Amino acid sequence: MTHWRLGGLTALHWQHFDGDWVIFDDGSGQTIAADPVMAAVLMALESGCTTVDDIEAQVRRDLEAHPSTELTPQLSEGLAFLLQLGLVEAAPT
Amino acid sequence: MADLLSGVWARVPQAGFSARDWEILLGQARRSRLLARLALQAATWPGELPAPQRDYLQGSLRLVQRQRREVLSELSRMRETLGQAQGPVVLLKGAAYLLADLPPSRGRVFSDIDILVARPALEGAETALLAGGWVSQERDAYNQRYYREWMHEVPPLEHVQRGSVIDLHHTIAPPTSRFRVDGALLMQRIRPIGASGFHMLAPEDMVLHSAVHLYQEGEFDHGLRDLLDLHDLLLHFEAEADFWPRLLARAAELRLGEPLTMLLDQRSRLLAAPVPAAHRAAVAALRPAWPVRSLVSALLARALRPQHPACDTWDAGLARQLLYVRSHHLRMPLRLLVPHLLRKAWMARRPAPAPEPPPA
Amino acid sequence: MRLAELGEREWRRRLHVGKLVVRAGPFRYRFDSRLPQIAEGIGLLYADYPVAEPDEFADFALKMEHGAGLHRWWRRQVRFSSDGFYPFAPLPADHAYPQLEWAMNWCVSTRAHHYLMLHAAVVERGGFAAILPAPPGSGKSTLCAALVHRGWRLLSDEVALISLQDGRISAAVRPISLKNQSIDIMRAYVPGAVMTPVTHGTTKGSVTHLKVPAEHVERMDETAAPRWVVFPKYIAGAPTRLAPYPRARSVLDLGGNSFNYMLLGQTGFEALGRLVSACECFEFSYSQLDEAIHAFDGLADAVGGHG
Repeated sequence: MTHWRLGGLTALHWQHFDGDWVIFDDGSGQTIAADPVMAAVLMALESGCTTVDDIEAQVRRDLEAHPSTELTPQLSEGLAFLLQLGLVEAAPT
Repeated sequence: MADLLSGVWARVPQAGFSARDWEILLGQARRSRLLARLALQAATWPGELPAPQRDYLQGSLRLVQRQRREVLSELSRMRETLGQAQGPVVLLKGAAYLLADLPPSRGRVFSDIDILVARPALEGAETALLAGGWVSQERDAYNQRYYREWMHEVPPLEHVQRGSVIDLHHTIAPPTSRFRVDGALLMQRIRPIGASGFHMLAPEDMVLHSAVHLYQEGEFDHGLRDLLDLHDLLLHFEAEADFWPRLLARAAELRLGEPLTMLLDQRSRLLAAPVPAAHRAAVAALRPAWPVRSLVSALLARALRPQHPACDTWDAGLARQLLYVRSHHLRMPLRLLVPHLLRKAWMARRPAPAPEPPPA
Repeated sequence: MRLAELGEREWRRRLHVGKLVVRAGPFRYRFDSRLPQIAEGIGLLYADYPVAEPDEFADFALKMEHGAGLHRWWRRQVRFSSDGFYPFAPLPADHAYPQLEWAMNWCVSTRAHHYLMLHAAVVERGGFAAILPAPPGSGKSTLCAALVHRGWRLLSDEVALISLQDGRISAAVRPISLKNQSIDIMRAYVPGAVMTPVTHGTTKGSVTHLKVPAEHVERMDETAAPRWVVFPKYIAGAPTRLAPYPRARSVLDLGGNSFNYMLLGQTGFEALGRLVSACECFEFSYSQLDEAIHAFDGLADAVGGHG
């Protein structure tokens, strides 16, 4: 089971435009544009979720997703992308 | 017209600066890469700074603030990459000042990250960094040889994606130079920097590193800045009870008396910061013989002036040339010197593309 | 006092000894040169601009001199320096005037960090500013020059100066640079336009600088509120098309096309976000200048602006 969390130096700042989010990370200086799912993943991590299951549950609640909506592949991809950017860290337990 | 810049650290300006003085001061500071430091110093002066000057001074701090974050981020990545296999990793100069929150870190603009490992660990460290995406900046085979065989150094490593540059060392001065130091002696006194996983040199070694680096340095572009670093370190560490005796004993042990005392003289003269009376005799004992002392002193004094038209006289340029040649002599034995300079000149006539002017 | 009022003899004298300080927008530029093309260019393009006293504070000092050593006489070169530092390789001597304008841009874009600086043209109508970001070669300068001669006020053809204090845009109001085909286009579009002699063979091709209309120079201290971000693209034969562009993408595109967004960190992020929030953002493609201007006028009219 992988535990996820925001990077030690990550400090996110948020702005919202017509449904999309633009997020600035003070630690790395990166600016990313995120669709609602990616933004929700980051918000879930910010609020303390650590496992993919927790993250998915939080994202579903925040986006009011229909139970039948497939989210898992998107979330895994999203987390892998954020890992590459250095915004999140993963640790096996 | 005078050097307005060094005076900024020697005393609080009594009269205000005129508009033209400000323009020259900012120009000199920019030229010496001291604009951000000037901004921090000016913030301590009474009264408010006039408007356009304040904008440029504060603007210069932006880069500094941004860089601090990025260097911290980079150090974190480097720590992961290097792991534990190489033994202690010692940060030198700017990176150490930043992580250990030492005064020279304030207003500092970073270029490369300098690190030190034990000599036997050097190859392993380079391999680990290569695997982590840092590749050698030096493509030319001859220059690679210059670094490795003659200077006994690893050419700078640049990260393929992020562009950060790491200079990997096993000692604080080029092993072929007159003032070479055995890295193992330095490693005996290193201290951890908090819980960062990195180490730093002992205070006396940090001061001596700053001194020998400036003394042997070929380029004087940032001579005044390096002198200010030395000054800040001394002011900070002399609060420790036996610091001066420890510093002087170590300078004798490592045979770095000449660089240290010559720069203490410049510091005293330019920054109005003399050696404490109790230690003057001990400092005097470390000074080089008189002919060397007076010639180098004069050269250094002229060369440490900001390279700004307002105070860059023809003889300052000459002094810098002489020092440049001399420092090459210090860094490399004479028999190896000439072929390398010739090669450098030849390559300079076939330049890599110079930076393009911005689009019209 | 304007440059022309100072008298040619006096301003040339000052130029020779580094005492000529000319103000354009929020910046005073100190010029130091004995090169004839520099004097000619400044005399032609900056006649209407205010001159400061030699001992006033100049934001930037620019020295233009002939090449060093051999290159003073052979394969003549020109060199730019500021504060004794030479940031660029020397250029052929006949590039002297364009080099000065580029150097002025360089000074601003590398030092004026009390602004968020976007690489974009900015024009204003009715108090509202249209920001035209575009990579080089996208026709932005031609469009900007045309708008400036059809009822829109020039703030800048190159750098949008966004105040970090209040988000308003300041006018840099410097001569407009034109390249290659746009030179002939503008000659036809604006009969009687004043331009420097064309310099051929630069890295950007043939280059000239166009004098800013006197009324715009007069109004250099009037800031403007940002209202539209328009990403222009010249496509030969294309119909005029103005289409909404997502704001989040606009933030990224503007930030990526900025001189100091990265350096400003969180401050830059916030300033850029405020700017985009205040603006309608569009993609714009065109091939006919008159139609393009008509589309811009449409934007201004929709706000109730008038010329």
